[in-house]
Amino acid sequence: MLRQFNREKLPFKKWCLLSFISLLFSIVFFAGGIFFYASEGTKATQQRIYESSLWNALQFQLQSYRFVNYLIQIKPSDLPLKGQAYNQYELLMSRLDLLRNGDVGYLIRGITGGRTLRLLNIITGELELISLNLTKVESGDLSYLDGMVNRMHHLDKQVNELTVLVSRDTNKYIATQRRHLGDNLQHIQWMIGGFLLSLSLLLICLIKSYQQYKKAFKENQQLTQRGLYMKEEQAQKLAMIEQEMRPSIQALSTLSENFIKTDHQASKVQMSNHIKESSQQLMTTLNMFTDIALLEANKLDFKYTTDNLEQFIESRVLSMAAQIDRKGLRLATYVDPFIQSTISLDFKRFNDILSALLQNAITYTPQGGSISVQIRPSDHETPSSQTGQRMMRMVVQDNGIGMPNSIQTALRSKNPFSPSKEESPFHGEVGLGLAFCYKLVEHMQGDIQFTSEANHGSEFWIDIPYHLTSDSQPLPMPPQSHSIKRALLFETDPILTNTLVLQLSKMNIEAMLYDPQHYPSEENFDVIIAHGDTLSQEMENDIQQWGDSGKPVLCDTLTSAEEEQIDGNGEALSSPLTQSKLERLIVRYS
Amino acid sequence: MRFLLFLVCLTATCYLPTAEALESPKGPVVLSLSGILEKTNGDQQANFDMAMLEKLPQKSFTTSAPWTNKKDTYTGFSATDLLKQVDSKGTLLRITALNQYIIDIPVSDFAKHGAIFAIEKNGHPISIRDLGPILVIYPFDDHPNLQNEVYYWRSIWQARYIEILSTPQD
Repeated sequence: MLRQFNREKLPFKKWCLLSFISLLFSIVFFAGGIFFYASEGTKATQQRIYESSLWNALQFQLQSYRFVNYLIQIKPSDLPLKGQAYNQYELLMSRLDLLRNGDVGYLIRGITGGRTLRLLNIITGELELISLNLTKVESGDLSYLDGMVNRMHHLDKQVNELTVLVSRDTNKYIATQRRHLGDNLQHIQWMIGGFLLSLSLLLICLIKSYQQYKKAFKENQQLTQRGLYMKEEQAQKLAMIEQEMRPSIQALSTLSENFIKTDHQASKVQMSNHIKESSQQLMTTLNMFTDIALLEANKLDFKYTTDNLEQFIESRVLSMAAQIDRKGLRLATYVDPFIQSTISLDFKRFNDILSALLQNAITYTPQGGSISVQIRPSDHETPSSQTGQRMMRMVVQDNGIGMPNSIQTALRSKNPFSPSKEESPFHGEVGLGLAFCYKLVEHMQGDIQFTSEANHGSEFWIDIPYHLTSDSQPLPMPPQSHSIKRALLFETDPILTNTLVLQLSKMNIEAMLYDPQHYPSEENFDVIIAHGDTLSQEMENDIQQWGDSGKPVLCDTLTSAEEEQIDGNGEALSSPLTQSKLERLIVRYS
Repeated sequence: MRFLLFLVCLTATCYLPTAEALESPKGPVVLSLSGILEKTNGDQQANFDMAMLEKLPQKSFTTSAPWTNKKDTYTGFSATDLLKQVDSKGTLLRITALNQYIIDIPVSDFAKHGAIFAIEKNGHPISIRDLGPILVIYPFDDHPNLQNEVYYWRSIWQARYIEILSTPQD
């Protein structure tokens, strides 16, 4: 599964990596582009060269005028010139050289047309020729001056044209460079835009990566924590296995020893039954552990079978009769007639839930307490005509000491239906039976609620889905197999009273509760049902009086063992009091 | 006795320190200084011929310049030495070239940036055609921070007159 997860994640990671590399390349590309265009822009802004070109051209023109002016102003009285004429000539030529050499010369050769270069050559040649006459003038022969001045005047046109051409071409070049610079700036803007976009995407990538990292880190922490929980849970499970199985094993060991030692046949039979019961309990515990493991691995499958619900419940309750007897408890069951008699249900799992809850009730109910099991349609039932699914509610109520607060808190705070339930040692806190019950109900998509009060007992409501079978029919009205219409009920336990009234009602018998203030006449009831071992003397006297007068009296015994001793037929109003048992008794006494 | 005292005074007067006058140029004057200066050899100005300039402490460096596009070795004197020669405390030089181009150069440029008045290029005197005989040059190659318009324009060619001034803060 982990491999599959990795395979699914791999393309995303690969995509992220490729995107990240692409972004890095983009950033490098854009940064390089910006650097290139900025460098180009720097070159394009080297205005000094253009300005020098214009400056030197104008300086040359000015110097040529000065040179002509100097020649014109030479007088015989100035002789000897002592190199002055040469100096003026060299000044002029130095400006001409500047237009031919260096950066300026390179620029003029590059940006101006052939005409400019031709003009430079013509002017240079003319000035070289003039220098020949300059020697004569320096030596005192001023007759060459006019010729030199004339030549300079003729050269004036070319000098002027050269200046104009340099100026024009330089300006044109500057305009081109500026346009180029503008383009470069635009490219730089685009590049910066792309650069910022790439950076933003990179930032998003980094944020996403950081989030992924945080998530992975958190998951890792959770996994580590879960591993620790699992180890802890494993240790608790082992402790619980030991705790749950030790009493049964010890009981088996003690019973086996006693069985060998005793010679009394009746005790041997009793011990044999006890051994069977302990073995059965041991097997049940082992099965629970196995089933919990299957539930946690989500591998527990339900096997729906069709059975009679009422008979099933009665049989399961009767199988626990010995345990109930030993503790002197009274138990009554009732199945609402609105639940079809034959339904489709995983009866094995249903039995697990019922056994766990009954076991819990037996544990927390002291000697002489009472337990009732009622089955009726759930308040949350939403009948589905297509699937035929129904919801029943099982109510297990006792009047015991109530569950310890620690268990109640664990049941409420550590909701077993929450996803993190596996991370908590749930069944270490509430006991194997209840934990298994909760997990099973959850797995069956049912619901479980409870109330518990100290010294008043506990009550569990369990909603369990079931299916109607093809032969599920509305329950027919039970045949009237008896002539009893009304029963006077002597019962002091509210839990059992309620169940008994329902049982009688199912048999169309109206139950009247004994009330010394409203003493009933004999004509008002057909039978007396005395169920309870805490009847007052007054009650017992009344029962005795009515019994003597011929009214049938159904009286319970403490245990089924006592019942057997009293009644050879094994039928009395004994615990567990089931619907069928009550019906048989009513029929018999009617 | 009086005569003896006169001779002693005369001798002492001869040995008293006197303001040393700047020697007069023997060749053609190539550089004239005016303004804030103590020593002169002309009409309130100090004139120098090439021989006088060559006597000043010489410095050399090799550099390229935008107007040559090649490396040349320039030799010349510093303005600080020139100002010492004329006993000047000026801080600003207003230099005029043969073509009447004028530029102001702080004296500090010569001490701080190593600029010189070059009188030789590659071991030879610099002709007027080659932008001489005196030109101000900065060691551009040694100090890239000097490669900008400010110092290019201060590199005056064919320097002929220097007016020694003081900056307003002075």
